[in-house]
Amino acid sequence: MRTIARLDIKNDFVIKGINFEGLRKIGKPVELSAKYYAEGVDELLLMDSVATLYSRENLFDIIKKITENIFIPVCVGGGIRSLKDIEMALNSGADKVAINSAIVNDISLLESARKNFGASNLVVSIEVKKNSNNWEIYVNNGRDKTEKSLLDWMNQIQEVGCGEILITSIDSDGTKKGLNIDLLSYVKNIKTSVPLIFSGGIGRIEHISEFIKIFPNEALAIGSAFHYDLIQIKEIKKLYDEKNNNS
Amino acid sequence: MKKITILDYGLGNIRSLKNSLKLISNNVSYFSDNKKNNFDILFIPGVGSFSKASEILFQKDYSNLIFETKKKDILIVGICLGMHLLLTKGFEDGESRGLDFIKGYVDKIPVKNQKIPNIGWRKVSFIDNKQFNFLKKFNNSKFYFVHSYMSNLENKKNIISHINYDNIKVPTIIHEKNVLGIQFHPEKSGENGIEFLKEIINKY
Repeated sequence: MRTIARLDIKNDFVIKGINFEGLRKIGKPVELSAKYYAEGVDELLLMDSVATLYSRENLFDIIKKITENIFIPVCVGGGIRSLKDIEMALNSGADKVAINSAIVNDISLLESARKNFGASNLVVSIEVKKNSNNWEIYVNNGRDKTEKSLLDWMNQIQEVGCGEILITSIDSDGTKKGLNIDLLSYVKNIKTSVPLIFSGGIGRIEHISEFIKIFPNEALAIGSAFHYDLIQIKEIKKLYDEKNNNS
Repeated sequence: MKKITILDYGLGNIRSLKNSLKLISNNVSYFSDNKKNNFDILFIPGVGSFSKASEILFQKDYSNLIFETKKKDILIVGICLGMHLLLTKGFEDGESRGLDFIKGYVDKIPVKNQKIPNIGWRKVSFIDNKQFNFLKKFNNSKFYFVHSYMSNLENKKNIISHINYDNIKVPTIIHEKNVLGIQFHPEKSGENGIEFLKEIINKY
């Protein structure tokens, strides 16, 4: 099990909203990354929420600064649209990239990325929301609905090949009211051969206990709960150590 | 101060390795900037596919550099895919040749219950080995892994440490003469990883 600190970035700031809306400034990306690293987080996930050409270059500069002093895996996402973008991200010091829209638009990018960079560098990011009993895929921070269902999409991307799948619940994002258990139970029944990362809703340590019961070996990406000091990373580690000693 | 060179052959994030090594030595360069062949340790990093890496190594003059380094008895450290390339051959996207410094082959981790890639922090167990006694203090400490393929060695004597993944003993540090292979990413394993690199560089 891994704990990932998620930093959503807009221009020079880490921001956070609720359901991707009402964004508030939290702090500076380099400083917050250093803080979470010092506290012992397993990985960092930096997501650019603007995803324009300019902001992407800005993000790569941030990654360069972060990885000068931080020696844990860093994943970068938001606006990665081409092999060139992936190469630039990796050359900036990122270990992996998270891609959403560009692959939804054209899945052949995933295949060429896998051939060029290897599957383990590639995280497919999925934003998901339930509409009249169907789990549907969204892009652009939950703004635009696609025609794809979660089940079909997860099968497709695994067939092509990726290293990890990041699943963000749009309805739970930023709420701090707990993970979307309905979504977790649904994904639990999908056959997955690659590691999963769940994002959206963590606000209390009890939410993490619930998660471990359903997915003892998968990863959690946590934003608000770390930004607002609601959970300490060492509390999470203690939880896992207890679990490992008991099982 | 030991002079360190990193082979940059275009696969994966090498900036982090350089940044971490800069904490240990103020003489760290990429091979492309250091054509004079003047170094004490050569790092071969890499993330990606064995076949692609093999193609690049043997097409360009990289392999000559590596073979010369090997002959001169200079320490060669392969990390992750760089470790796999030290073996005889690999089976990713068909069969391709490795550097053959350590006898064995690279193939997919034959998992039954766990997932691939093996991603995350794992406790590494060390086997008694006089030459590498100085690494014993890292026994049972955690390092960061991300890999789908593993080393299968002909001679178990080459194995210094392993992890247990899905009941499979996966070699995590391997060794033969002046060649060392590391499966995990010390440059991504926090302070523990930096300490580990420091020990290798200063005490080998």
